[in-house]
Amino acid sequence: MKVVVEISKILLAVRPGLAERAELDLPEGSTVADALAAAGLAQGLWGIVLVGDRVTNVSAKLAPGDKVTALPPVSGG
Amino acid sequence: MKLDLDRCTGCKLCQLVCSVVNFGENNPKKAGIRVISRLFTDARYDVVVCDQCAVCIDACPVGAISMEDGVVRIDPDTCTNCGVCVETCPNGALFSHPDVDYPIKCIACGECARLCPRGVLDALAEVGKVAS
Amino acid sequence: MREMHGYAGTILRINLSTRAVSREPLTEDLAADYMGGRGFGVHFVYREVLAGTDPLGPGNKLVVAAGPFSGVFLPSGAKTSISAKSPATGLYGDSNIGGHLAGELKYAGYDAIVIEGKAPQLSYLFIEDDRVEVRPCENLRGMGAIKAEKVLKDELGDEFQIATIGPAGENMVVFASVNHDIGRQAGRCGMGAVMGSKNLKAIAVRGTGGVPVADMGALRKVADEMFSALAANPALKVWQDQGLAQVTTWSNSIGALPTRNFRQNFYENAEALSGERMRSDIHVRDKACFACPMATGKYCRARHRGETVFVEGPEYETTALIGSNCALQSIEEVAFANYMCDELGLDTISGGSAVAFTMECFERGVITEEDTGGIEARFGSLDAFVEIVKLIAARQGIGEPLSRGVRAAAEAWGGGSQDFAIQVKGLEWSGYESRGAPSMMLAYMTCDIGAHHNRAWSITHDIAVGRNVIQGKAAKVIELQHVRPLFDCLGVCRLQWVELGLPLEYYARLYPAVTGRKDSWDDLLLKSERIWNLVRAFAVRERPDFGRADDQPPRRFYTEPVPDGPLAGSRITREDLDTLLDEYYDLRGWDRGGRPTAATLERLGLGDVASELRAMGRIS
Repeated sequence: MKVVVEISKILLAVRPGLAERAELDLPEGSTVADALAAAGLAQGLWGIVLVGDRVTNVSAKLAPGDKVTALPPVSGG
Repeated sequence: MKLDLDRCTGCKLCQLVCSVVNFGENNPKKAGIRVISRLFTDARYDVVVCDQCAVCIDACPVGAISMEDGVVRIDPDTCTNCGVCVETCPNGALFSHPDVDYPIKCIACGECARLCPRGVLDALAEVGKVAS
Repeated sequence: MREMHGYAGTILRINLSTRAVSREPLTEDLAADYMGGRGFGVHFVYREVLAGTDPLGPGNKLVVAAGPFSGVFLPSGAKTSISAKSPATGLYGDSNIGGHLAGELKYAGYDAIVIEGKAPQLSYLFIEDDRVEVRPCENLRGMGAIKAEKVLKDELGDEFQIATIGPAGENMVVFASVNHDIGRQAGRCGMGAVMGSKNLKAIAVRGTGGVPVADMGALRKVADEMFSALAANPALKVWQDQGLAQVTTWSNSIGALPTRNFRQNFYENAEALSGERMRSDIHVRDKACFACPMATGKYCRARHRGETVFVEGPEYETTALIGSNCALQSIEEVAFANYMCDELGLDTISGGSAVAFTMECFERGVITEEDTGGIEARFGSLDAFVEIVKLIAARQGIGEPLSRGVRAAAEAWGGGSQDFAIQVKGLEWSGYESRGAPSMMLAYMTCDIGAHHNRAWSITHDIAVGRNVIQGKAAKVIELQHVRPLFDCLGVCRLQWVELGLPLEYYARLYPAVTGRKDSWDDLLLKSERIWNLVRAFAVRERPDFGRADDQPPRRFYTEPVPDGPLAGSRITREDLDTLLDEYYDLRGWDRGGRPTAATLERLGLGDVASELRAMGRIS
């Protein structure tokens, strides 16, 4: 299934070299975490993650056409 | 007019933008709206703003206050800043400021409602729509 | 007097000993070079608090300063910096506070207050526009910081913005906080103790003036874009719901959550302290600083042994240092402990750390029940927490050494406890255990006020480029040490940028619109670097032996590997720390002893400082 992963600008500043927007072809049943890993984001580098405009848990299963947006972890105020 | 006070966080952006739009100043005391903290007693905030009830129109001794398109307005040229309307207002929604020679009140411009991050003032935007 | 855009234009100076009140025009040079807030604090403390001054004596000066963005139409121009020579470190210290004080100070007509001397009796500072009075307030003696705020609000009115200290500040506990708006604290570096040393219980301000800006049209345009971008950000809702409490779960998942006095960095019970649990179990209302859409303040209710209290918080730092670090069991327990610290007027970071240190000393037998006066000071006990912080605030029993910070308590108690007194320069370590994050470790070692995270937070940098990588980490730390404190100079909160990703370009556009000055963002960063070096110069002037040895973490971090959790077994070595420091000093233009060179100071426009330090033989 095809999904889109978008990485916020402030996260790109931390992890340069990643694509701001990646179109991925993942196996059925893939989770949000799988998509983030496939886009090159290690665990610990994302904070809030959205599917569409809803906040999600990274263990949630994706559906074809979903758009995943990764925001940075809270950076301590 | 029903404000969604349960959502107010006390940030006072409404007061600030009111002064910016209506007086061209960064000065939240020069505003037609007030946020009052009731945290110590009731764990909530209050917002005080004119609901256009028009009680002040009859109270004004010099006829400086009138209703235009659903919005109560004070004519600064006629107003003597006697303070009767401020005392009469059932909502306490007319505000005196030392540098302004007439009471300040909401003119339903809708800017505070547009910027309120929590939608507390949506009902005010409705007054604005009626007015325009 | 000519209007100075972005500023009230006046520095208010008050000598509490003589009750003399004077007003000095804010000079163009001071505004241009130091901007405001922390910059003004560093300027006045360096120039006026000479070497050897007792931090708790009348010679110390307390600087309360807003910045050019404070009180202006933009997101969260809400930050007040409070600066002085710190009684915790004996060096320059500052701490900032959100809420509604910064704008109010400028509306009253002042960019900063410089407070000198010592009042003959307990007093508060009353400021209403031109009216400035030092008023006696013996009735507030011993009163909790929040209660005192309520008493003054009831007397003066809700429009007064009030900063208070609690009993800990009156008793000069070196990590006493300054409290404002019920639950906002300038917690770090003991600014509350400096107020207490001056017999100053509170500052109350109300102003009716405005803040002039250079180009209102441009300002409105940028601010409107910023507010719109924040409103459209889908993450805003999470912030409005949980605020900074959301970070606890993440911090635990990556092995950074201080646990049992930083022995561990993973807390098995972290779920019970999560932002979700805060929201579902104890949350009452969202509470914002001035003109801020994020509303990270979470007003909560907590019950303990029949007592019900309300408290703003617990946010992440409090949850980390009081919660996992003392192994408390629930977010409600943390909230109750948070309330105790706020009311007593203690920093929750240093306070939580002091209690955790005590608990470890007790469990290891360094101190006994005889020392604690019968308190069973074990990890996980809220009752013990409450009793210990009361003793600290009163400076009784074990509270006396603890009231001088964990470094001093470890010196008093010995028994190897120096190794696990978790501090740098005398300031207790805030909420990120960093054995698995070398750049963050370096950030804590080199933070100018002691072990605080807010100058540079770089854990994601470690995760991104490798958690074992040492080489090349210093540049990121230095970059952050200039950009993040810049927000404290401008008097604006940085969360909208650093957490919600509002681009820095907005702030670069705001500066000329507000101040009329032409500086680029890079120009501002250079000023921030100057301020950073001036803080270092203060330390070098203060102590002939100041330098590299002051930039070391506690021994625990380079001798004990992480015992469990996701980073089990990982460690950082003494050699790693030396590599980090060498690289850092070289990039900063400091010598390997950690002292700025004369050439570096001269490059930053601090030639007179270079001359002074060279004449003293402190730098070459």
